[in-house]
Amino acid sequence: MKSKNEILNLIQQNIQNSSDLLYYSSVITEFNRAMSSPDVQIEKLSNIIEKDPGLTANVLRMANSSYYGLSKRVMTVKHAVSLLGYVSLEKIFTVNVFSKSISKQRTAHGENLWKHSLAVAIAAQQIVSNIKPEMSELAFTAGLLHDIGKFLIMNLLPDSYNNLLKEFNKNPYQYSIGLDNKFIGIDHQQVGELFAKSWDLPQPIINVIRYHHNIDFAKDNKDIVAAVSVANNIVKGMELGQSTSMLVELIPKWVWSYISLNKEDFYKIIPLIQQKYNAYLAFLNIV
Amino acid sequence: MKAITIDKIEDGMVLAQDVLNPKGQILIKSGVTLDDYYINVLNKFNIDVIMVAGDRESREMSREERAALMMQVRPGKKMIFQKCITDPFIYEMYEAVVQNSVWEKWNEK
Repeated sequence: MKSKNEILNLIQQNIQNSSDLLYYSSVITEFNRAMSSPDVQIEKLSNIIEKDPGLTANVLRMANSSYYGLSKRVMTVKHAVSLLGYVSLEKIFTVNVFSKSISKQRTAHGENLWKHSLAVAIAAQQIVSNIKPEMSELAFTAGLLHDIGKFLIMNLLPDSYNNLLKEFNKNPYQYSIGLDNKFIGIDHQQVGELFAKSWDLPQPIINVIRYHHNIDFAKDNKDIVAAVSVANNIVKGMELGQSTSMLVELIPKWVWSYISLNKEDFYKIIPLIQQKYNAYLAFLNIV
Repeated sequence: MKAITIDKIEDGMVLAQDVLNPKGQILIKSGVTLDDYYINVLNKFNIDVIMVAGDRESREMSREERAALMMQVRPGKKMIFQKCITDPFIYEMYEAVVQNSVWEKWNEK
């Protein structure tokens, strides 16, 4: 096994080489900026989408899918944008770009981890929309990226990661941080943080990536870190997708009141997460 | 949530996603119960497809069927929650997850 320093160096080197990842994160940033300006313009959004031929094809394919059941064909990105609606467009966009940029090798596990991330994004958004609606889109992105470290380890240290997976398959009821330390030598939160910083992602997202298994250590953005952490556990309980542990973790007592979650709320939130997740998968299967 | 063309709107259907005009402004907010007034609005703006809420509660599940599904679901979920099911909040999360899984299994049928 490589030493922690060797691993950190390997990652540092690959940050420079990951120009495609950087490209996608800049597209996401540009898109988010256009979306959050007070008067969002179809023209602007369409221009950003049209810069990327793959994305253009996907947006058109989605708009023309049976999901929308239109009789006329949608031929232009502009028409597709107005049809899909901004809110769903932003999510589809983020999800699309994310899945494209991370899953170079399509494996069953990669796909499951990706579904897990998507479910956590949906759940985190659901939780945050109750306390800070203005931050709910950020919570979605943070949820989507919370395990980015695992994707990076998967790509950069495939042998170690496969050993970890073998152990997971033998006994899925172990904590993921323990498996990381044993088989990788560094945990996925640290790896993810390194990348997130070099990409210049917003600080709340960096904190989510770094502390979603150790909420007590987060100094800032405790609300969003706590929301993603709770989301992560709900999603593990619901078995939406799969990560590298099937265990629900204990959540510090202060968290529940901090994110204004009552015991009864689970009965409302969980079916909603399930419905949204099903709708997303139905949607994404088209692409 | 499912997509339907507006000629398929039935009484009591609930809009599940905001309907926007081409400028991105909200025409009809999600959550409203669709009636003639809203159908007129949709027609006026040439909107042909909308998202409506699914019918999760529409079929009855008998007590026996429910109990059988609970039996099927609980052991697996107990494994997942084994480390912290004694925590009152996590316990409630567990119960809600079991109920949801029962619904999902029921809907698969």
